[in-house]
Amino acid sequence: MTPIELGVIMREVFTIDQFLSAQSHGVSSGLTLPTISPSLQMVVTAQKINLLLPDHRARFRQQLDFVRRTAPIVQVSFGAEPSRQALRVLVRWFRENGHPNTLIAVGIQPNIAGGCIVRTTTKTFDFSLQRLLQVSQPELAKIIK
Amino acid sequence: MDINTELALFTVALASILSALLAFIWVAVRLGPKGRRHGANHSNNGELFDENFRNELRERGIARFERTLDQNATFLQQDMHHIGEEVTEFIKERAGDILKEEFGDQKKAIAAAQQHLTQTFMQVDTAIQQQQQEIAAQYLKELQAEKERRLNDFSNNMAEIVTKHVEQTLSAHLDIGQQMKYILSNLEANKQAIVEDIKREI
Repeated sequence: MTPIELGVIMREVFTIDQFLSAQSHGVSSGLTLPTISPSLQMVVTAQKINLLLPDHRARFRQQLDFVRRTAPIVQVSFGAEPSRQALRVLVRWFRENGHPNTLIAVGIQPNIAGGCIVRTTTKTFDFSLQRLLQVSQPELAKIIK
Repeated sequence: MDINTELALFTVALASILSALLAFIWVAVRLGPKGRRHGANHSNNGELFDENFRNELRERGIARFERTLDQNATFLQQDMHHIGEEVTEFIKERAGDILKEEFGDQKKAIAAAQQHLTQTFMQVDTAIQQQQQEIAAQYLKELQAEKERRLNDFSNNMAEIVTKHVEQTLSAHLDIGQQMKYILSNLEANKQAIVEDIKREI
């Protein structure tokens, strides 16, 4: 999950909560029940949360807010759009080795061609093909000459 | 035959023609009216020859004169013909010599011009070859310099060039999933630094 997806889920939960609270007080908010996105559906199913229950919604919002405030964000830039499977592997690595709530912000940087660049809070780790070629430049020059 | 011999022959021919003419004139004078009168005076004086004999003598003289005249005319014609042939031959030979001399001069002039032209062509060829060699050397020098410059540029910007090339040619085929092994191995290699930085943020 990325910080953007987290924000979208939080906004969806807030809208649903507003709608259902108004309905429970017999006040029409003038809104229709918002649709639930696949991401929210997946999280809700995994956490076994019933969004129709106010206390579940409140607890879920608190959890989301906690994650938003405390989860470390790692920016990972790729040369091309990564597949969800690849992202899943990457997220699993960070959550297993770093922090369980680590959020991955994915960026596209075509000039690196291959590999990725990982940016944590204060450091940048360049695992790109561009960097690999720069390191291997003397060897490449020898081969070409 | 040299010129002096030809001149002597011409002089002899001319002298023979003149002597024939003088002989003809002398005969004409001797057999003319005065001579005949001289004989008539004799006959008149002594009456040695009668009129018939004088007529006969006159006819015989006329005949002889005509014969002599014909012979001299024939000789003159032969001489003239001979002289004409010799003159023609002389002119031919002389003209041939003159032409030979002229042709010789022309040949020499042409040979000199050809030699000059050949030398000029050789000089031009030499100059062209020299210039060609200079241009070739300059071209090779510039080519080498350009090659070195491009190689240096390529060496200096090799990473960017190869990356750009890979990006342009393989970007559509580069699957991140296939790179995950490489990415994960790098993450593992830098695991401590990454985890420390993440935990510092928390």
